[in-house]
Amino acid sequence: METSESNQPSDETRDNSEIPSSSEKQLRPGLWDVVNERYPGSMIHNDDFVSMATLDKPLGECRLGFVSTSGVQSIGSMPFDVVHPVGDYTFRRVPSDTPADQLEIHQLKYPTDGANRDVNVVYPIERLREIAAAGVVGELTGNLYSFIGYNMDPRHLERTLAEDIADAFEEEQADVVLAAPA
Amino acid sequence: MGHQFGVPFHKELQKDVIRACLELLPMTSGTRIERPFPKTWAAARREGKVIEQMLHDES
Repeated sequence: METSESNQPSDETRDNSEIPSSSEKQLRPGLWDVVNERYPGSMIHNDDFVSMATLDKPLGECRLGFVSTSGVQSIGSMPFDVVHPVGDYTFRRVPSDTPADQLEIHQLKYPTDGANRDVNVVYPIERLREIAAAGVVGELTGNLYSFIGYNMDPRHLERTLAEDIADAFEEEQADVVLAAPA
Repeated sequence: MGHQFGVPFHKELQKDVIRACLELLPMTSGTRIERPFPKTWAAARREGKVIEQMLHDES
């Protein structure tokens, strides 16, 4: 039964913006300490969080973008360099109307058996189109984006690749961007 | 890993994952929100196998 509290986050929906600062640094406090110890310099701590922007229009009127670390790209585009020792800091534009069978995956760091049969499990381009067609969102950006998650210089990633993709979405006039790991 | 949006050919599950993400947007007031997805991986795999079997039988 609906109650006046139904619009408030439930116990299962936790807004962590007010959790203590010591544990606010990461979702799993201590995880990156372990990673940094094993792979020095491969991870960074971000103390300068940028709060999520507030949605200023109904979702049904928003232009939705999508970016993934899956290494999915259009057949015929320059393949990601999946064997470079420090990674590939480039991204690919995938026109949002690209047929799923015109996509391929260049990424070695996650199991692709499922994605090779149905790319939507990592890059749900068909599902995004269906969701837009159903009016859940207004429309998709003209291009969706992809890069590979294996990048061993996170500061380089943050200052170049992430900035480049953010600029690209700004040019696409995206209102909302869904970012997914692979 | 490699199955962030569910299992192959399970279109409804894949859309449910996207919808679940989008539903969080109006709630954003801080740096992050966590919400468990209301389906287990085991259940998703079971459903996926049934769907794949159906697709196989139809082809």
